[in-house]
Amino acid sequence: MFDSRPIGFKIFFIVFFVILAIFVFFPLYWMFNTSLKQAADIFDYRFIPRNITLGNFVDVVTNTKVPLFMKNSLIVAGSSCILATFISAYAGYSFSKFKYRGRRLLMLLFLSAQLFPYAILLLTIYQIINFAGLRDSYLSLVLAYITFTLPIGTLTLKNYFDQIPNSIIESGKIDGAGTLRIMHSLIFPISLPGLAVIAIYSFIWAWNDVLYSLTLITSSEKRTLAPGLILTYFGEFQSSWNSMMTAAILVSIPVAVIFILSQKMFIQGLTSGAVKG
Amino acid sequence: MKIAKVVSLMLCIMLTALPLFSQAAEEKPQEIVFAGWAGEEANSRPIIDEMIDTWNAKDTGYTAKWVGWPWDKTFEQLIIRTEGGEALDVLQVGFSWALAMDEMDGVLELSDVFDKQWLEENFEESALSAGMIDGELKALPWTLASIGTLYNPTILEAAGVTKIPQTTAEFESALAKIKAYDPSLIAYGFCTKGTTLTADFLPWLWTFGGAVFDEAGNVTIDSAEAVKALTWLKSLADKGYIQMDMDRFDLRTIYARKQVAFYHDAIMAEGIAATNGVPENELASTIQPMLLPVLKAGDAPQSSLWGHLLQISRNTADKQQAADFIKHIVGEEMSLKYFAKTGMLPVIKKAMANPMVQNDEWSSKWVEITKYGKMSELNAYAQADELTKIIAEELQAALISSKTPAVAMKDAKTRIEGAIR
Repeated sequence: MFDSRPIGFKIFFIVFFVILAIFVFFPLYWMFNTSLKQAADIFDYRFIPRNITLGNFVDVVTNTKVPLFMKNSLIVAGSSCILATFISAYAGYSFSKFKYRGRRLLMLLFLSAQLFPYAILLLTIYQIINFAGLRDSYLSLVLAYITFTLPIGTLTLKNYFDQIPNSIIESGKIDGAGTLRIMHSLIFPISLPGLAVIAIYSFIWAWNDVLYSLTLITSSEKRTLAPGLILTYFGEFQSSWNSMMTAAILVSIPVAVIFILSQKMFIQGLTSGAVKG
Repeated sequence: MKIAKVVSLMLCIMLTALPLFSQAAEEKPQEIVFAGWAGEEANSRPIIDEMIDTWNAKDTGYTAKWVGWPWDKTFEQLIIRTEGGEALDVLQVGFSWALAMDEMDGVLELSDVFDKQWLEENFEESALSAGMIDGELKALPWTLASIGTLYNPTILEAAGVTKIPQTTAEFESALAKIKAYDPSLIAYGFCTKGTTLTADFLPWLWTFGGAVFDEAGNVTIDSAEAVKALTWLKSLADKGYIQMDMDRFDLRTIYARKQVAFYHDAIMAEGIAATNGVPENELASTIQPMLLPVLKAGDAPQSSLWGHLLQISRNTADKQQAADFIKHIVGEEMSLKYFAKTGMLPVIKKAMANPMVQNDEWSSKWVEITKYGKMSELNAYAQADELTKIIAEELQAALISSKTPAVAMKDAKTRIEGAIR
């Protein structure tokens, strides 16, 4: 189909995608470029660094708390991702497939968390967490992150479930399946792409957060990645860009791998759901 | 109905369980929480740990504990936690934050907890004035030193600058020689972005006889003197002596590569240069402090006072213990260790008189610079951070020629008046 297009279109298409690729990949390349530099060469703008060193990578892995921050982030982001996805799925299903009094009001309440800037909500969440004695715990962060991902997750999945014909549920009921069985065996498998979107959204939200993590976590042993990296490499008198870029590359590798593997699983799930239907 | 019952039951369980959690939190041993950013900085972390360890070795009944954040997030965290009722005791704050902490009733008056005699014996009146707000002592200085001017002696010598410039005319002539010697060098590392732009501008504003506010509190940043100062700085930028898009962090790194002839920084500049790669044996020939050039011989060289202050949070459980902890960290022994490790000038009289400080050539030069130190006028306002940003934006607009210096200063005046109204 592309071959049959006029030459002008082809040139425009290729140039457009090359420019787009530069926009997407150049910052990533520059991160890698900076990670290979020594501190004194940070402002040396060569495409290939002058004195290439792998010392930054060795330093990040062996001399810093970055591996610990990463473990903490995986715990917090993983937990909030799983919980937010599950709760959103049940809530979304409830709003989509059940008719009961107060359903709209409850839905509005779910969405109300999105009405306020998240920095403003921090003041309230901080006080509740403080009152509950949960400060400086992973649970405090997980609860806070769920607060923000639940509204979007519930609304998205409600819309997703709305598109699933009720006849699938009816056929499940005819076969003698209960509500939970219908949800778990029929609805969720064919909703995997929707669930994946929420899982990825909530994971990234938790992974990137600085403000909540800085506020709710006080001990360095429980710090998550984003504030941990800032604390390690930036300060009143220090700014270690090369180490920061190195750490950023290293910590993105496992997450990228998880998502690449998950993507395959999601596609499989979608395909199997389609065959079942 | 069923759902309403389940929701009510869950709420009841939560409300019953929450106080149990908080009770568990209250049963913790008594603590003195020292909060700030110094304990998170690589160079000062070991000495902060030592301050805490030595306190904990004493039998006070209170265990000291550090809680910290990145420097640029600390103020925000102190506000959130103070308002949230968190039991912080001793707070490390910057000059511009002290007033805001006081205005939100977040800190205690220190004359109530430190006796007058101890304060007089240990602090110069000028040092104590750094923590005075509306005639009350709301903060104690921990370290005080001006933001100074630094030069690279090797570059100056190679460019034929034989005398350290003392006037703006000499300074401009030196910049011209440096640029002619090597056009790739940044002759003058004046900060041209971020809030450090305002910090670098203020001493020049004062040098030219201008001020942000007059004594009555009227905004005077659009005065003829201020416009003249900005016009002069813009002329340096137009001649290529100043490079755009540079903040203090950028300049520190480039200075360490010996690509900057002059720039401004705090007293730790030498240590920062070493961290950024200047070998120990090349420090003296790479970085030296000097007084800011004056408009005409005989004028006082201007500098902006910089330092860290200590305050006691209103949430402290035991203000006397908090005060004792402050005495511990500003005391002679700890001050000298802090100085040896970080280069931060002590404030307490005995520590200042110690040969370790007196015989240190770098520190002695900095004491000379600090002699002319002046508190930023913006610190008298709780909106100091906002005012700093306003001035920086207007200065930047003038430096990149999107506004004339006169218009930029006039706009700065209008915006400052709006912000403090």
